[in-house]
Amino acid sequence: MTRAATLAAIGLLCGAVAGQKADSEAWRKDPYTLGEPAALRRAGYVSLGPFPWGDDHDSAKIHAMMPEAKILWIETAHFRLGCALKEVEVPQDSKVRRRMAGELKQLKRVLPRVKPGARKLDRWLRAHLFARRLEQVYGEVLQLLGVKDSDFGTSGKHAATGPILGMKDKFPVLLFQKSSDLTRYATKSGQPPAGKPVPICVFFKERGGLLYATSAEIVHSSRDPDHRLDCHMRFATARNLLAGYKGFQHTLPPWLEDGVGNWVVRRFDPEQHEFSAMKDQDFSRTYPHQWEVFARRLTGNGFGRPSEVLFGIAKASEMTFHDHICGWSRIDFLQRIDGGKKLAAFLAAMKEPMPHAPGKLVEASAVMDAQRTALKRIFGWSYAELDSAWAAWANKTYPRK
Amino acid sequence: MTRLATSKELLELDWHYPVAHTFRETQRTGKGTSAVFVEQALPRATAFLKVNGEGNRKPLLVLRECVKCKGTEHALFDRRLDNEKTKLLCQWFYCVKLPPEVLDAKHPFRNLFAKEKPPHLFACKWDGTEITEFSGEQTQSELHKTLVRLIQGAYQKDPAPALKSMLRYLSEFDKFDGLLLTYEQKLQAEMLLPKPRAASLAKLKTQIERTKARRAEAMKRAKAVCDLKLKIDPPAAEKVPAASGGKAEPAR
Repeated sequence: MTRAATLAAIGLLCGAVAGQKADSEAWRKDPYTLGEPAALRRAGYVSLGPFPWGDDHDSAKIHAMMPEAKILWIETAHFRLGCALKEVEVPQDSKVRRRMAGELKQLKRVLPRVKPGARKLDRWLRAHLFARRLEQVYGEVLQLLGVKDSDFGTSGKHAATGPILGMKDKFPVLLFQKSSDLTRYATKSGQPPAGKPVPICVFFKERGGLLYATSAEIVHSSRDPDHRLDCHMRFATARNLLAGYKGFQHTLPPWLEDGVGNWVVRRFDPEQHEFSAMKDQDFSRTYPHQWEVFARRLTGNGFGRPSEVLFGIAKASEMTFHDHICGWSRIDFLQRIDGGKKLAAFLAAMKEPMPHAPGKLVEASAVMDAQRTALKRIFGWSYAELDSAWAAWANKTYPRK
Repeated sequence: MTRLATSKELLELDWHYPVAHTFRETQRTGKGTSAVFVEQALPRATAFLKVNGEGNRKPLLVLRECVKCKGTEHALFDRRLDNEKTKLLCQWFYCVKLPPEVLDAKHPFRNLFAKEKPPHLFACKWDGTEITEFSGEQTQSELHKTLVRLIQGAYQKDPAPALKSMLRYLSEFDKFDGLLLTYEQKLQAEMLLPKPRAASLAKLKTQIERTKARRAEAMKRAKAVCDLKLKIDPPAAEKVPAASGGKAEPAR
């Protein structure tokens, strides 16, 4: 073989190898923004990665140590999203198709390459949808809390706290397709082993971010997997944002956290609800969704637990299905009585720093006492007075059946 | 056969997803979080130590997830069968799932698998000895023979009587769960009426408590039956598993 032919052969081989490498990384290229700065800005994105993540790892390290997950990265104004969801078909149901087309039409305003009539949601499209949904929930929670972005950071009423709703860093969110990948990530980030794959919530102390990570397999639904995951994430994100509001310092009572989470979900889809945990939960069962009707009945039939008891429950796993209904309904009521101003003040009060022994967590009893005090100071109610007001409102507002 | 909650939980495999390093372990001092860590294949003995749980002495069942198969456990189960016997046998194993990329040359656990024709699945003693490899095309009876042999080697009691009992217990649990579902739905419906009837509530609560108690008793008996008691290994020098796979699956 001549020297020229040899060099040409080597050149061809290198090109083939480079081509193979490019093919194997083709999934990382976003077909909707093409990674172009103007397109990212229009979409409201900061970057498609790599970016900071946890205290001992960033998105590049996650990719290096978990290449099998093929995570797509999007940084928005308030979140850093890692999305490893697989492509799904839009279900044939006409109502679902209409809803998805509406959402894609909205997305097209900021990502012109999106096709509203798409019958398949490819991996990048799913990532863009979830990035948009996370920011939607952020907006709703800001409204519930009666705050704006400018209230945090260097000026504003919560100037002493971090710039992102009170957190130092943006909220990281990881969406895996497989529970095995979720569990491997949890183990790599030093989480204690759980019996079964479960969503994880991790406070990165040094960076100041509050991560939520889950997998599509945990919230599996064969009928409309994207919608089911969407509802789960709205619930979980609302809870996480509330946990991070004014800084992550102590855990709120479960009636409040799950109540706010369900308030967000049920406004989005009144037929959906979630539980972070529930007493004797039967995972094979679909729980009824007519919560307005049930809440009304529970006000008067003796089976709705009074606030004195409900507000004192320390763990969601001790809450029954009826407790979850009543917790959500309390939030629904308190949010509606004066446009939510007093509820916003109550939530702000509940997120004030609470006394605790040095180096120890805030005691549950301190959180419970804070509720009683805040309820009296802001609403002028004792627990019994709250229950009377709530029952009267529920009987006037909610349907009988 | 559709199993109900308790049986489903008993039939669920307790998978472990070991990793070679945590993020913190790979952090180079003073380099912050952005240094890209490149993993390397661990020596076979180290890889076996890493995939084992702390203090584990149960035999190992190691499954490599598959991107092509429908579901990631296809190599272990036969889609045409209900696989209950396989699932019950697996409860006596330390079950490990590894990602499809484990066959990449640099994956930390690469050396768990043979270099040539790496199996989809293998079972072995906790220390990696007495390996039997499976391609994923094995019959259930071939798989069961190996699983039973390894269980007999690791435990004091034979699994066959426990297996027979457990298949009966699963049906018993389904009966209890079916009753509980009915009673609890009735109770909830009653509690959500504008005027719940005290007598109905009391009766349903009693029925629920009684059924739960009977189910708990059955669970206690089932757990006792399943306790085959691990043999305690005599102290010995640390064994290093063979460099290549052991007995291959018989050719057909």
